Amino acid sequence: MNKQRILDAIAKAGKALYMALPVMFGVVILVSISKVFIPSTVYASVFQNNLLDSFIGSSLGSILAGNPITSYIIGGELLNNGISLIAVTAFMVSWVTVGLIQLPAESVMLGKKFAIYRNISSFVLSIFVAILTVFIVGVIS
Amino acid sequence: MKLRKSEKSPTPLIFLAITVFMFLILIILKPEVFWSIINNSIKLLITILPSLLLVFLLLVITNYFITKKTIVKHFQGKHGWLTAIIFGMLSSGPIYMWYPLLSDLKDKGLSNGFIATFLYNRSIKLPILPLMVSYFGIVYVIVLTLVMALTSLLQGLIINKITGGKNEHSNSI
Repeated sequence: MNKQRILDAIAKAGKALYMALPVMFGVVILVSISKVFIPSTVYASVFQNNLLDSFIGSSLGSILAGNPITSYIIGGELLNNGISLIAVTAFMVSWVTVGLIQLPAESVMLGKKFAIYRNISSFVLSIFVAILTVFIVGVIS
Repeated sequence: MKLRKSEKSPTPLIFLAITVFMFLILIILKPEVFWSIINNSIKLLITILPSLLLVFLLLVITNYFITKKTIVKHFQGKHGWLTAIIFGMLSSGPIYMWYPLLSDLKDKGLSNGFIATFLYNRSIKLPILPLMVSYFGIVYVIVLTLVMALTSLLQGLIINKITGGKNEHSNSI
């Protein structure tokens, strides 16, 4: 074991968490505020628990961006508010696979055609992943 | 350690400052919600923080074993798809950090499909899955991870088909 490499690995991990913490604390406060001010009936009116939910979930996840940890916290709270698991899954998957904010950088570095098709296919596949995952979990459980 | 410009970004702190400011405005306007918001925040933090310790440990392990050099070495082997999946999952850091390396590999003949599969699997963050388990349960997380890994292959094939991504050099990389 290389001691310097271990220290570097610890420093890198610490830095990654340190970068994520302000956003995480911010999201915790926002979620707590929304719990107090937004009644669960509002969520229920947006998400109707049908297939359209996954589309809405994917769209929301595509627009929003950030650390996956944030999507887990928001996803968990959406689930607690009665949103379907398909919608929450689509939301979390598109959050991490569709990168509208990074699209310009991705286009420059990896090609415009590649970046556009990758993001479009990621959006469509997030719905597919959500439906398949929830179906399999339903069969297993 | 000197930080790169992107790592010094004040955006996370600005986001936290705006949120705290919003919270302060709300409790000035509606002081009776103060304890409800504080209680909700504490409950959420209690759910999250124990998992973060495990997340930290797993990040250290992956940072120790997985370097850019390791990834390039394995992409040059025979099992490109498997490499794209495994190293996509194990790679760390912001996504844009990987663009220069991927761009370079692309110039050397790596197919668009491999790159798409690698990027898709970057969304599966093994070190932070313990946190997801605390919210959604182990069965759900395992199924989702497997479905996403398989879907990444599908996406790689789709991207290759659409972009004609498999160029004449890609067999060797």
